[in-house]
Amino acid sequence: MKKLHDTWGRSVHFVDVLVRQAHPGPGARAYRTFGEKMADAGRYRWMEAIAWPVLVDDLQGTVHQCYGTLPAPSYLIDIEGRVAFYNLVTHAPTLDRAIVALLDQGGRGIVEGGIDRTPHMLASLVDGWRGLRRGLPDSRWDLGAAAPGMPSAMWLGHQLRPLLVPIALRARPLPPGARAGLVAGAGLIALALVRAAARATPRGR
Amino acid sequence: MAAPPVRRRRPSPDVAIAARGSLAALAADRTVMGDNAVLGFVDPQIVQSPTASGLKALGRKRPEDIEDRTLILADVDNTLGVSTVLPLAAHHAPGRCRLTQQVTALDAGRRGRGHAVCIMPVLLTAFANGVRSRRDHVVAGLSTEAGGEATMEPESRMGMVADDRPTAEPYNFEHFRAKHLLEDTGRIWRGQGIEPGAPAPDFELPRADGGSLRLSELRGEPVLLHFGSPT
Repeated sequence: MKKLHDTWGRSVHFVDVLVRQAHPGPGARAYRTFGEKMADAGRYRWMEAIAWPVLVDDLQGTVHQCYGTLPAPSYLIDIEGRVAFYNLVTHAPTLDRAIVALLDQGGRGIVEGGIDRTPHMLASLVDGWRGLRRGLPDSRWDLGAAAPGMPSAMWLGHQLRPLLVPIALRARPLPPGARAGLVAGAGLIALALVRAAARATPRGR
Repeated sequence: MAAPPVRRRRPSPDVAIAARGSLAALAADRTVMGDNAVLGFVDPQIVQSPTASGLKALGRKRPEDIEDRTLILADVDNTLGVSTVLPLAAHHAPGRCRLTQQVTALDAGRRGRGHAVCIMPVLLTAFANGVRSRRDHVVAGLSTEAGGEATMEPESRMGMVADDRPTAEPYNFEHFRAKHLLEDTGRIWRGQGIEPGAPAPDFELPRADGGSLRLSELRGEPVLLHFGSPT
Protein backbone atom coordinates (compact mmCIF):
# COMPACT_ATOMS: atom_id res chain seq x y z
CA MET A 1 0.00 0.00 0.00
CA LYS A 2 2.89 2.34 0.78
CA LYS A 3 4.38 1.80 -2.65
CA LEU A 4 0.97 2.34 -4.15
CA HIS A 5 0.65 5.57 -2.16
CA ASP A 6 4.10 6.69 -3.33
CA THR A 7 2.94 6.22 -6.92
CA TRP A 8 -0.63 7.49 -6.74
CA GLY A 9 -0.84 9.57 -3.56
CA ARG A 10 -1.08 12.81 -5.54
CA SER A 11 -3.97 11.70 -7.73
CA VAL A 12 -5.93 9.53 -5.33
CA HIS A 13 -6.99 10.12 -1.70
CA PHE A 14 -5.87 7.20 0.46
CA VAL A 15 -8.01 6.48 3.54
CA ASP A 16 -7.59 3.65 6.04
CA VAL A 17 -10.38 2.52 8.37
CA LEU A 18 -9.36 0.64 11.50
CA VAL A 19 -11.75 -2.25 12.16
CA ARG A 20 -11.82 -5.06 14.75
CA GLN A 21 -8.73 -7.13 15.50
CA ALA A 22 -8.63 -9.88 12.91
CA HIS A 23 -6.47 -12.21 15.03
CA PRO A 24 -6.60 -11.01 18.62
CA GLY A 25 -4.33 -12.34 21.33
CA PRO A 26 -2.47 -11.20 24.44
CA GLY A 27 -0.39 -8.65 22.54
CA ALA A 28 -3.33 -7.26 20.60
CA ARG A 29 -6.51 -7.73 22.59
CA ALA A 30 -9.99 -7.42 21.12
CA TYR A 31 -11.16 -3.84 21.63
CA ARG A 32 -13.41 -3.35 24.65
CA THR A 33 -13.66 0.44 24.67
CA PHE A 34 -13.51 3.06 21.98
CA GLY A 35 -10.64 4.75 23.84
CA GLU A 36 -8.62 1.55 23.54
CA LYS A 37 -9.34 1.45 19.84
CA MET A 38 -8.36 5.09 19.34
CA ALA A 39 -5.09 4.54 21.19
CA ASP A 40 -4.37 1.46 19.11
CA ALA A 41 -5.10 3.40 15.92
CA GLY A 42 -2.31 5.81 16.82
CA ARG A 43 0.09 2.91 17.42
CA TYR A 44 -1.03 1.20 14.20
CA ARG A 45 -0.40 4.37 12.20
CA TRP A 46 3.03 4.74 13.77
CA MET A 47 4.03 1.06 13.48
CA GLU A 48 3.01 0.82 9.85
CA ALA A 49 4.27 4.33 9.06
CA ILE A 50 0.99 5.18 7.37
CA ALA A 51 1.20 8.60 5.75
CA TRP A 52 -2.52 8.96 5.00
CA PRO A 53 -5.55 9.39 7.29
CA VAL A 54 -6.40 6.45 9.54
CA LEU A 55 -10.05 6.62 10.60
CA VAL A 56 -11.38 4.72 13.57
CA ASP A 57 -14.65 2.85 13.14
CA ASP A 58 -16.93 2.66 16.18
CA LEU A 59 -16.79 -0.29 18.55
CA GLN A 60 -19.71 -2.06 16.82
CA GLY A 61 -18.01 -1.75 13.42
CA THR A 62 -20.92 0.17 11.87
CA VAL A 63 -18.98 1.35 8.81
CA HIS A 64 -17.11 -1.94 8.48
CA GLN A 65 -20.35 -3.93 8.51
CA CYS A 66 -21.95 -1.53 6.06
CA TYR A 67 -19.04 -2.11 3.67
CA GLY A 68 -19.17 -5.92 3.83
CA THR A 69 -17.32 -6.92 7.07
CA LEU A 70 -14.38 -8.53 5.28
CA PRO A 71 -11.05 -8.39 7.16
CA ALA A 72 -9.02 -6.37 4.66
CA PRO A 73 -10.93 -5.16 1.61
CA SER A 74 -10.30 -2.05 -0.47
CA TYR A 75 -12.72 0.08 -2.44
CA LEU A 76 -11.72 2.40 -5.23
CA ILE A 77 -14.31 5.18 -5.28
CA ASP A 78 -14.70 7.39 -8.32
CA ILE A 79 -14.89 11.19 -8.36
CA GLU A 80 -18.71 11.06 -8.11
CA GLY A 81 -18.61 8.96 -4.95
CA ARG A 82 -19.53 5.64 -6.61
CA VAL A 83 -17.68 2.36 -6.23
CA ALA A 84 -15.45 1.94 -9.27
CA PHE A 85 -13.69 -1.20 -8.09
CA TYR A 86 -14.02 -3.53 -5.12
CA ASN A 87 -10.95 -5.55 -4.12
CA LEU A 88 -12.29 -8.11 -1.61
CA VAL A 89 -8.78 -8.98 -0.46
CA THR A 90 -6.52 -5.97 -0.83
CA HIS A 91 -3.91 -6.62 -3.50
CA ALA A 92 -1.70 -3.75 -4.59
CA PRO A 93 -1.02 -4.82 -8.23
CA THR A 94 -4.74 -5.31 -8.82
CA LEU A 95 -5.48 -1.90 -7.31
CA ASP A 96 -2.70 -0.37 -9.39
CA ARG A 97 -4.37 -1.63 -12.57
CA ALA A 98 -7.73 -0.34 -11.38
CA ILE A 99 -6.34 3.11 -10.56
CA VAL A 100 -4.67 3.36 -13.97
CA ALA A 101 -7.94 2.38 -15.65
CA LEU A 102 -9.98 4.83 -13.55
CA LEU A 103 -7.67 7.75 -14.25
CA ASP A 104 -7.64 6.82 -17.94
CA GLN A 105 -11.44 7.15 -18.10
CA GLY A 106 -11.51 10.52 -16.37
CA GLY A 107 -12.04 9.24 -12.81
CA ARG A 108 -15.59 8.04 -13.47
CA GLY A 109 -17.25 4.65 -13.89
CA ILE A 110 -16.58 1.01 -13.14
CA VAL A 111 -13.13 -0.35 -13.97
CA GLU A 112 -11.55 -3.81 -14.34
CA GLY A 113 -14.92 -5.55 -14.17
CA GLY A 114 -15.75 -3.80 -10.90
CA ILE A 115 -14.79 -6.58 -8.51
CA ASP A 116 -11.86 -8.85 -7.71
CA ARG A 117 -12.67 -11.88 -5.55
CA THR A 118 -9.25 -13.57 -5.77
CA PRO A 119 -7.98 -14.51 -2.30
CA HIS A 120 -4.38 -13.52 -3.24
CA MET A 121 -3.01 -16.16 -0.91
CA LEU A 122 0.67 -15.64 -1.76
CA ALA A 123 0.58 -12.05 -0.52
CA SER A 124 -1.20 -13.18 2.67
CA LEU A 125 1.38 -15.89 3.27
CA VAL A 126 4.31 -13.53 2.81
CA ASP A 127 2.86 -10.58 4.71
CA GLY A 128 0.41 -12.22 7.14
CA TRP A 129 2.90 -13.14 9.86
CA ARG A 130 3.58 -9.49 10.68
CA GLY A 131 0.00 -9.07 11.86
CA LEU A 132 -0.32 -12.52 13.38
CA ARG A 133 2.74 -12.16 15.58
CA ARG A 134 1.24 -9.11 17.30
CA GLY A 135 -1.40 -11.37 18.85
CA LEU A 136 0.86 -14.28 19.77
CA PRO A 137 0.43 -16.91 21.05
CA ASP A 138 -3.38 -17.07 20.85
CA SER A 139 -3.55 -15.62 17.34
CA ARG A 140 -1.38 -18.47 16.08
CA TRP A 141 -3.23 -21.26 17.91
CA ASP A 142 -6.63 -19.91 16.92
CA LEU A 143 -5.74 -19.60 13.25
CA GLY A 144 -4.07 -23.03 13.35
CA ALA A 145 -7.25 -24.58 14.72
CA ALA A 146 -9.40 -22.83 12.11
CA ALA A 147 -7.05 -23.40 9.16
CA PRO A 148 -4.47 -26.08 9.99
CA GLY A 149 -1.02 -25.31 8.65
CA MET A 150 -1.75 -21.68 7.84
CA PRO A 151 0.30 -20.08 10.67
CA SER A 152 3.31 -22.26 9.81
CA ALA A 153 2.98 -21.34 6.15
CA MET A 154 2.82 -17.66 7.13
CA TRP A 155 5.89 -18.04 9.32
CA LEU A 156 7.75 -19.72 6.46
CA GLY A 157 6.57 -17.00 4.08
CA HIS A 158 7.92 -14.42 6.51
CA GLN A 159 11.31 -16.18 6.66
CA LEU A 160 11.46 -16.26 2.87
CA ARG A 161 10.29 -12.67 2.65
CA PRO A 162 13.44 -11.27 1.03
CA LEU A 163 13.05 -13.79 -1.78
CA LEU A 164 9.29 -13.54 -2.16
CA VAL A 165 8.66 -9.82 -1.71
CA PRO A 166 9.58 -8.92 -5.30
CA ILE A 167 6.95 -11.42 -6.48
CA ALA A 168 4.26 -11.35 -3.80
CA LEU A 169 4.22 -7.78 -2.50
CA ARG A 170 4.56 -5.77 -5.63
CA ALA A 171 2.78 -2.50 -6.19
CA ARG A 172 2.61 -3.20 -9.91
CA PRO A 173 1.70 -6.36 -11.84
CA LEU A 174 4.61 -8.61 -12.85
CA PRO A 175 5.71 -8.13 -16.46
CA PRO A 176 4.48 -11.00 -18.70
CA GLY A 177 8.05 -12.23 -19.29
CA ALA A 178 8.73 -12.50 -15.56
CA ARG A 179 5.43 -14.34 -15.05
CA ALA A 180 6.33 -16.84 -17.77
CA GLY A 181 9.77 -17.28 -16.19
CA LEU A 182 8.23 -17.98 -12.80
CA VAL A 183 5.85 -20.56 -14.22
CA ALA A 184 8.70 -22.25 -16.08
CA GLY A 185 10.88 -22.20 -12.94
CA ALA A 186 8.11 -23.70 -10.81
CA GLY A 187 7.61 -26.39 -13.46
CA LEU A 188 11.30 -27.25 -13.49
CA ILE A 189 11.42 -27.48 -9.69
CA ALA A 190 8.35 -29.73 -9.70
CA LEU A 191 9.93 -31.92 -12.38
CA ALA A 192 13.17 -32.17 -10.41
CA LEU A 193 11.25 -33.15 -7.27
CA VAL A 194 9.29 -35.84 -9.14
CA ARG A 195 12.52 -37.26 -10.57
CA ALA A 196 14.22 -37.21 -7.18
CA ALA A 197 11.24 -39.00 -5.65
CA ALA A 198 11.29 -41.59 -8.43
CA ARG A 199 15.01 -42.22 -7.87
CA ALA A 200 14.50 -42.60 -4.15
CA THR A 201 11.69 -45.13 -4.59
CA PRO A 202 13.01 -48.74 -4.68
CA ARG A 203 12.42 -50.61 -7.94
CA GLY A 204 9.64 -53.21 -8.09
CA ARG A 205 10.36 -56.66 -6.70
CA MET B 1 -24.16 -45.33 33.79
CA ALA B 2 -27.47 -43.92 34.97
CA ALA B 3 -29.44 -41.99 32.37
CA PRO B 4 -29.42 -38.21 32.97
CA PRO B 5 -32.75 -36.74 34.07
CA VAL B 6 -33.73 -35.45 30.66
CA ARG B 7 -37.31 -34.44 29.91
CA ARG B 8 -38.17 -34.04 26.23
CA ARG B 9 -41.13 -32.98 24.23
CA ARG B 10 -41.41 -33.22 20.48
CA PRO B 11 -37.83 -33.84 19.41
CA SER B 12 -37.71 -35.24 15.88
CA PRO B 13 -34.40 -37.00 15.42
CA ASP B 14 -34.27 -37.59 11.71
CA VAL B 15 -30.76 -36.49 10.82
CA ALA B 16 -27.27 -37.36 11.94
CA ILE B 17 -25.69 -35.20 14.57
CA ALA B 18 -22.78 -35.45 16.94
CA ALA B 19 -22.83 -36.72 20.47
CA ARG B 20 -20.61 -34.04 21.93
CA GLY B 21 -22.65 -31.26 20.38
CA SER B 22 -25.85 -32.74 21.74
CA LEU B 23 -24.37 -33.04 25.19
CA ALA B 24 -23.13 -29.47 25.03
CA ALA B 25 -26.59 -28.25 24.05
CA LEU B 26 -28.23 -30.30 26.75
CA ALA B 27 -25.87 -28.85 29.32
CA ALA B 28 -27.81 -25.60 29.22
CA ASP B 29 -30.42 -24.96 31.87
CA ARG B 30 -33.08 -24.87 29.19
CA THR B 31 -32.83 -26.09 25.63
CA VAL B 32 -35.41 -24.78 23.21
CA MET B 33 -36.03 -26.83 20.10
CA GLY B 34 -37.79 -25.98 16.88
CA ASP B 35 -40.04 -28.41 15.01
CA ASN B 36 -37.14 -29.71 13.02
CA ALA B 37 -34.48 -29.39 15.66
CA VAL B 38 -32.87 -32.60 16.74
CA LEU B 39 -30.66 -33.83 19.52
CA GLY B 40 -28.67 -37.02 19.78
CA PHE B 41 -27.27 -39.51 19.47
CA VAL B 42 -24.81 -40.29 22.18
CA ASP B 43 -23.14 -43.43 21.05
CA PRO B 44 -19.72 -45.06 20.65
CA GLN B 45 -17.53 -43.10 18.29
CA ILE B 46 -14.48 -43.67 16.17
CA VAL B 47 -11.76 -41.04 15.94
CA GLN B 48 -12.25 -38.93 12.82
CA SER B 49 -14.79 -41.35 11.37
CA PRO B 50 -18.54 -41.29 11.43
CA THR B 51 -20.24 -44.00 13.35
CA ALA B 52 -22.25 -46.54 11.47
CA SER B 53 -25.45 -45.07 12.89
CA GLY B 54 -24.45 -41.63 11.62
CA LEU B 55 -24.10 -42.88 8.08
CA LYS B 56 -27.39 -44.72 8.36
CA ALA B 57 -29.18 -41.57 9.48
CA LEU B 58 -27.68 -39.62 6.61
CA GLY B 59 -29.07 -42.17 4.19
CA ARG B 60 -32.56 -41.43 5.44
CA LYS B 61 -32.41 -37.75 4.64
CA ARG B 62 -30.20 -36.04 2.12
CA PRO B 63 -28.39 -32.93 3.41
CA GLU B 64 -30.01 -30.77 0.72
CA ASP B 65 -33.46 -31.78 2.02
CA ILE B 66 -32.75 -30.57 5.51
CA GLU B 67 -34.92 -27.60 6.38
CA ASP B 68 -33.38 -24.26 7.25
CA ARG B 69 -34.52 -24.42 10.84
CA THR B 70 -33.02 -27.83 11.43
CA LEU B 71 -30.15 -27.64 13.79
CA ILE B 72 -27.23 -29.89 13.23
CA LEU B 73 -24.37 -29.87 15.62
CA ALA B 74 -21.37 -31.21 13.81
CA ASP B 75 -18.11 -31.69 15.57
CA VAL B 76 -14.85 -31.70 13.78
CA ASP B 77 -11.50 -32.93 14.90
CA ASN B 78 -8.62 -30.48 14.74
CA THR B 79 -6.73 -32.77 12.42
CA LEU B 80 -9.49 -32.98 9.83
CA GLY B 81 -8.52 -29.85 7.96
CA VAL B 82 -11.41 -27.46 8.36
CA SER B 83 -9.97 -25.27 5.63
CA THR B 84 -10.88 -27.94 3.08
CA VAL B 85 -14.46 -28.00 4.21
CA LEU B 86 -15.16 -24.30 4.55
CA PRO B 87 -15.32 -23.26 0.89
CA LEU B 88 -17.57 -26.25 0.18
CA ALA B 89 -19.83 -25.28 3.04
CA ALA B 90 -20.08 -21.72 1.78
CA HIS B 91 -20.91 -23.02 -1.68
CA HIS B 92 -23.61 -25.43 -0.58
CA ALA B 93 -25.39 -23.17 1.85
CA PRO B 94 -24.51 -19.55 0.99
CA GLY B 95 -25.76 -17.04 3.46
CA ARG B 96 -27.30 -19.55 5.80
CA CYS B 97 -24.49 -21.91 6.58
CA ARG B 98 -22.65 -21.31 9.77
CA LEU B 99 -20.32 -23.87 11.18
CA THR B 100 -21.21 -24.75 14.74
CA GLN B 101 -17.54 -24.46 15.57
CA GLN B 102 -15.76 -27.17 17.38
CA VAL B 103 -18.02 -28.07 20.22
CA THR B 104 -15.19 -28.94 22.49
CA ALA B 105 -16.85 -28.28 25.81
CA LEU B 106 -16.47 -31.91 26.77
CA ASP B 107 -12.82 -31.97 25.77
CA ALA B 108 -9.94 -31.33 28.09
CA GLY B 109 -9.34 -28.05 26.32
CA ARG B 110 -9.79 -26.09 23.13
CA ARG B 111 -7.12 -28.08 21.36
CA GLY B 112 -7.96 -31.35 23.02
CA ARG B 113 -8.13 -34.30 20.72
CA GLY B 114 -11.45 -35.75 21.68
CA HIS B 115 -13.28 -38.37 19.74
CA ALA B 116 -15.06 -36.22 17.20
CA VAL B 117 -17.58 -37.33 14.69
CA CYS B 118 -17.43 -35.46 11.45
CA ILE B 119 -19.72 -36.28 8.61
CA MET B 120 -18.83 -33.94 5.83
CA PRO B 121 -22.24 -33.63 4.14
CA VAL B 122 -23.74 -32.87 7.51
CA LEU B 123 -21.10 -30.30 8.18
CA LEU B 124 -22.00 -28.62 4.91
CA THR B 125 -25.44 -27.84 6.24
CA ALA B 126 -24.52 -27.04 9.81
CA PHE B 127 -26.49 -24.17 11.24
CA ALA B 128 -25.53 -22.45 14.42
CA ASN B 129 -28.91 -20.84 15.20
CA GLY B 130 -27.37 -19.10 18.14
CA VAL B 131 -25.47 -22.02 19.59
CA ARG B 132 -21.95 -21.25 20.59
CA SER B 133 -19.44 -22.91 22.77
CA ARG B 134 -16.52 -21.72 24.79
CA ARG B 135 -14.10 -23.65 26.90
CA ASP B 136 -16.06 -23.21 30.06
CA HIS B 137 -19.33 -21.73 28.99
CA VAL B 138 -22.11 -23.12 26.88
CA VAL B 139 -24.99 -21.19 25.45
CA ALA B 140 -27.71 -23.11 23.73
CA GLY B 141 -30.51 -21.58 21.72
CA LEU B 142 -31.39 -24.20 19.20
CA SER B 143 -34.07 -22.40 17.28
CA THR B 144 -35.77 -19.06 17.14
CA GLU B 145 -39.14 -20.79 17.18
CA ALA B 146 -39.72 -22.96 20.20
CA GLY B 147 -41.53 -26.19 19.53
CA GLY B 148 -40.63 -28.09 22.65
CA GLU B 149 -38.29 -28.24 25.54
CA ALA B 150 -35.57 -30.48 26.78
CA THR B 151 -34.19 -29.90 30.21
CA MET B 152 -31.35 -31.27 32.24
CA GLU B 153 -30.82 -30.85 35.93
CA PRO B 154 -27.92 -28.52 36.82
CA GLU B 155 -25.98 -31.26 38.64
CA SER B 156 -25.75 -33.21 35.38
CA ARG B 157 -23.83 -30.50 33.57
CA MET B 158 -20.49 -32.28 33.77
CA GLY B 159 -18.69 -29.27 35.15
CA MET B 160 -19.85 -26.82 32.51
CA VAL B 161 -21.31 -23.43 33.29
CA ALA B 162 -24.47 -22.96 31.32
CA ASP B 163 -26.65 -20.09 30.25
CA ASP B 164 -29.86 -20.38 28.25
CA ARG B 165 -29.87 -16.88 26.84
CA PRO B 166 -29.17 -16.89 23.11
CA THR B 167 -26.61 -14.14 22.57
CA ALA B 168 -25.35 -12.60 19.37
CA GLU B 169 -21.71 -13.25 18.53
CA PRO B 170 -19.84 -10.07 19.50
CA TYR B 171 -18.37 -8.09 16.66
CA ASN B 172 -15.08 -7.77 18.54
CA PHE B 173 -14.42 -11.48 18.99
CA GLU B 174 -11.74 -12.55 21.45
CA HIS B 175 -10.61 -15.57 19.45
CA PHE B 176 -10.52 -16.20 15.74
CA ARG B 177 -12.49 -19.39 15.15
CA ALA B 178 -13.30 -21.62 12.21
CA LYS B 179 -16.71 -19.99 12.00
CA HIS B 180 -15.06 -16.60 11.39
CA LEU B 181 -13.04 -18.13 8.58
CA LEU B 182 -16.19 -19.72 7.24
CA GLU B 183 -18.04 -16.42 7.42
CA ASP B 184 -15.23 -14.58 5.63
CA THR B 185 -15.06 -17.29 2.96
CA GLY B 186 -18.81 -17.00 2.47
CA ARG B 187 -18.56 -13.21 2.20
CA ILE B 188 -15.84 -13.49 -0.43
CA TRP B 189 -17.86 -16.12 -2.30
CA ARG B 190 -20.94 -13.88 -2.34
CA GLY B 191 -18.92 -10.72 -2.98
CA GLN B 192 -20.54 -9.18 0.09
CA GLY B 193 -20.08 -5.43 0.18
CA ILE B 194 -21.01 -2.42 -1.89
CA GLU B 195 -21.75 -3.28 -5.50
CA PRO B 196 -19.57 -1.64 -8.15
CA GLY B 197 -21.43 1.33 -9.58
CA ALA B 198 -23.39 1.91 -6.37
CA PRO B 199 -22.82 5.07 -4.31
CA ALA B 200 -20.29 4.49 -1.53
CA PRO B 201 -22.20 5.03 1.74
CA ASP B 202 -21.10 8.25 3.36
CA PHE B 203 -19.72 8.30 6.90
CA GLU B 204 -17.80 10.52 9.24
CA LEU B 205 -15.23 8.97 11.56
CA PRO B 206 -12.57 10.30 13.93
CA ARG B 207 -8.99 10.36 12.69
CA ALA B 208 -6.21 8.70 14.65
CA ASP B 209 -4.23 11.93 14.41
CA GLY B 210 -7.06 14.15 15.61
CA GLY B 211 -10.18 15.66 14.09
CA SER B 212 -12.54 13.74 11.87
CA LEU B 213 -13.08 13.05 8.21
CA ARG B 214 -16.25 12.68 6.16
CA LEU B 215 -15.97 10.53 3.05
CA SER B 216 -18.09 12.90 0.95
CA GLU B 217 -15.58 15.71 1.64
CA LEU B 218 -13.20 13.89 -0.72
CA ARG B 219 -15.64 13.84 -3.63
CA GLY B 220 -14.12 15.23 -6.81
CA GLU B 221 -11.06 13.00 -6.67
CA PRO B 222 -10.78 9.21 -6.59
CA VAL B 223 -10.54 7.64 -3.13
CA LEU B 224 -8.86 4.39 -2.16
CA LEU B 225 -10.69 3.21 0.95
CA HIS B 226 -8.92 0.40 2.78
CA PHE B 227 -10.20 -1.50 5.83
CA GLY B 228 -7.71 -3.20 8.10
CA SER B 229 -6.42 -3.95 11.57
CA PRO B 230 -3.01 -4.31 13.21
CA THR B 231 -3.42 -8.09 13.28
